[in-house]
Amino acid sequence: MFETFRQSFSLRCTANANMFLFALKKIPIIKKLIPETAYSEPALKIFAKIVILLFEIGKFVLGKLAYLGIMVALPVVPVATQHEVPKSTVFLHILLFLTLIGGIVNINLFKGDERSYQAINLLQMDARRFTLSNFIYYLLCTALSFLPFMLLFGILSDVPVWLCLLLPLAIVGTKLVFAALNIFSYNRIGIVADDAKATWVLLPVWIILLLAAYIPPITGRIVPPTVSAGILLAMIPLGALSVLPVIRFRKYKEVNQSILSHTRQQMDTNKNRIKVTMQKQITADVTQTSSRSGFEFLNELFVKRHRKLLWGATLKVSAVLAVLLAILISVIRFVPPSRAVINDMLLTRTSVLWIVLYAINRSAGFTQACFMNCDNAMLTYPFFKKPGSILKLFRIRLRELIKINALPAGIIGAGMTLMLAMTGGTEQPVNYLVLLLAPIAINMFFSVHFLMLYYLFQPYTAGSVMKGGMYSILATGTYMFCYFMMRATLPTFGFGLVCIVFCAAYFLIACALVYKFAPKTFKIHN
Amino acid sequence: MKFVISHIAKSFEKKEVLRDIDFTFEAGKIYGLLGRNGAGKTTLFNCINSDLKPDSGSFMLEENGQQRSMNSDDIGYVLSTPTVPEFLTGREFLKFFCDINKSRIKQLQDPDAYFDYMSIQPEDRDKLLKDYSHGMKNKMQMIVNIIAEPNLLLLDEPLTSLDVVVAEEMKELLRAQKDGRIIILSTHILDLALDLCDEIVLLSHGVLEPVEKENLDSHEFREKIIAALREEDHV
Repeated sequence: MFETFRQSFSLRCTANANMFLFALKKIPIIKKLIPETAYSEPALKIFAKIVILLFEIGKFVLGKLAYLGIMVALPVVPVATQHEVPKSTVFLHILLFLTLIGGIVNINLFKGDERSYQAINLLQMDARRFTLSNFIYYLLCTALSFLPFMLLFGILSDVPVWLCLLLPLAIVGTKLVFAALNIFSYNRIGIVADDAKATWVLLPVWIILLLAAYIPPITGRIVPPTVSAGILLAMIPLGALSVLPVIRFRKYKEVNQSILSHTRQQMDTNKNRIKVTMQKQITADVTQTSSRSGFEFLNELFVKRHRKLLWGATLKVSAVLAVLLAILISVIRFVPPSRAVINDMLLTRTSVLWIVLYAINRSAGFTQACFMNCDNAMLTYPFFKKPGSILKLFRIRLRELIKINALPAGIIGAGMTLMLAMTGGTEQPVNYLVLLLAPIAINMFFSVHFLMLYYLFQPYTAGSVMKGGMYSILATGTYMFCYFMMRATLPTFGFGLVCIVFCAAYFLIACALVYKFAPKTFKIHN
Repeated sequence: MKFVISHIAKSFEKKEVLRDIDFTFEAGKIYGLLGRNGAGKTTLFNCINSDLKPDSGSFMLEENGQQRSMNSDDIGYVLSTPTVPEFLTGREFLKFFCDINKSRIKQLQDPDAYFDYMSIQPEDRDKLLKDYSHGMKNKMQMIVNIIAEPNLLLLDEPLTSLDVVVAEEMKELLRAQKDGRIIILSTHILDLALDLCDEIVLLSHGVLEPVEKENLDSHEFREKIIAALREEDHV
């Protein structure tokens, strides 16, 4: 089993290292330093593997830090203070429900991802050994990366040290229990949680658990610590008992293939797989027509036949935002001391909008769909590459992307304005207008920014999703920019005004850059 | 009309793929561009179609003794893997193409006339292109090039994966389309080149070389081409 794991881990490292070198070779100045023979240079390969390994460790560690810090520990102090309960009680309540959600959505036993497909179907690795060895690795990483942050946030929340030491094992135990439940479910009805068919059954369950993690504590109903800690600790022996069915299960190949079945036959190559995945996003409803002509006709049909992909996520995000807004409004309504805090935040901390709107904007999905299902084909036609054609379609797409991103931005703007009114208002009425308009302006900034990056640094190779180096650097730079903007503590009026002016100026500059350079840069890279 | 390639060169890092190519193609002929795998046929086509920027040289069209630069309306390009916008139906793709290019289309016909001409069945015309077979997608690419009537038509391995009936239909179509324009067809199927093309041009060592038929019979001509291609191995 160890040998199988070594092989699969090495496969993943090599693939990721190659991707890293490929991306380096796309960065303007750095590419000159990378020799043609980069993929066969042992020193470069080792360097790339070390970077990838550090990145993987960082991802695990930062992931746990963010999860425990933001999702679990952050609400502990305000809730404990409000209801005068021990901090550890709140901590354990939230952790219990989130751990149960993790059992449903994040077991990592049957993944049905590209790596599993390559290992099991293409390289003919033993499916059971592959799945189990990677599962064990995942559980070990989970326990180890949780331990330091569980101690940190647990002790800060007055959870006893002995319990902090056992909680990572409880999380691992929960994953094992749910892994065994998955196997039981497969043996009985042939479905596991990762199967697309199970999504709609499990979605309401984990939404209920998510609400149970936060809503009852806000209203003062908190699971007693003996019960929450008891359930979590019970997961350790239950997890140990679950090891046996997980190891005894023999149908790992069958399960993996059933998860992959929808694309399996056409997944000879990565290129085909992505193409097939994107093709599946096309709604096969030819009754949706358009009465327009030219590029407006093309765009209208593109949007109508990709409605699920383009609008689905936006609608989901909007729904989640509406729920969060409802929660905040009930907090304002039922927890009077929160009003001053929220009012103060609305008037001084609106800079956080940048990172929130960055996280929810749909521009990357939009440009990927544009490339995979339209531009990848159309850019081979000379008429499509004419400067006039490129710019006309850019204008139409920009309008469309702003529309797609507008709904969540509008909900945030309206929500903040409403909350400001509910929490005592402001001496400067213009703040209402600023709170309403700033998210819409920032949304327009992200829409034009990402569409501009797509037109100027078209990052996709024909048929693949591999990103160009310059595009990745600028996309990361955008994140850093948002992060620094988030740290700014300016009064809302000043901040909002600067945002609106900056976004308007950027919008014009970005359009000018696209008009000047896109006819040369917007093409398929071979 | 002539299509004149002058001093075209293209290298990828240290690998010289096209070396100072000079060649003139004449209208009314189908040229078969032959070369071993990796010889640079697709690179040459991508340079002509402006998908790749050549390191040096120019592509010109010569009409009535006057040379001018190529523009995108002069070129039609049919790829080996047909590329069509898969979210549109065949009819919608045709409508979009005609909308955009109406100023240059000389004799626009009813869409069904084009479908009939290309033997695309009525029941397939309103299906999404993603549900078209490889051959039907290829036919759609050909249709738009028939409508646009480009001066230069590039076909990259066009008949390789078509069934025999569709391949024969496409051959007839290309023969019917060659008057007044230059058709260059890249392939490594020698029989196809000999059957369809008026001239054979080899791309070897990064340069274009015509293979003269002289007085050879078809068997001898075939042997001569194979011998020329084999020579690459010994250089």
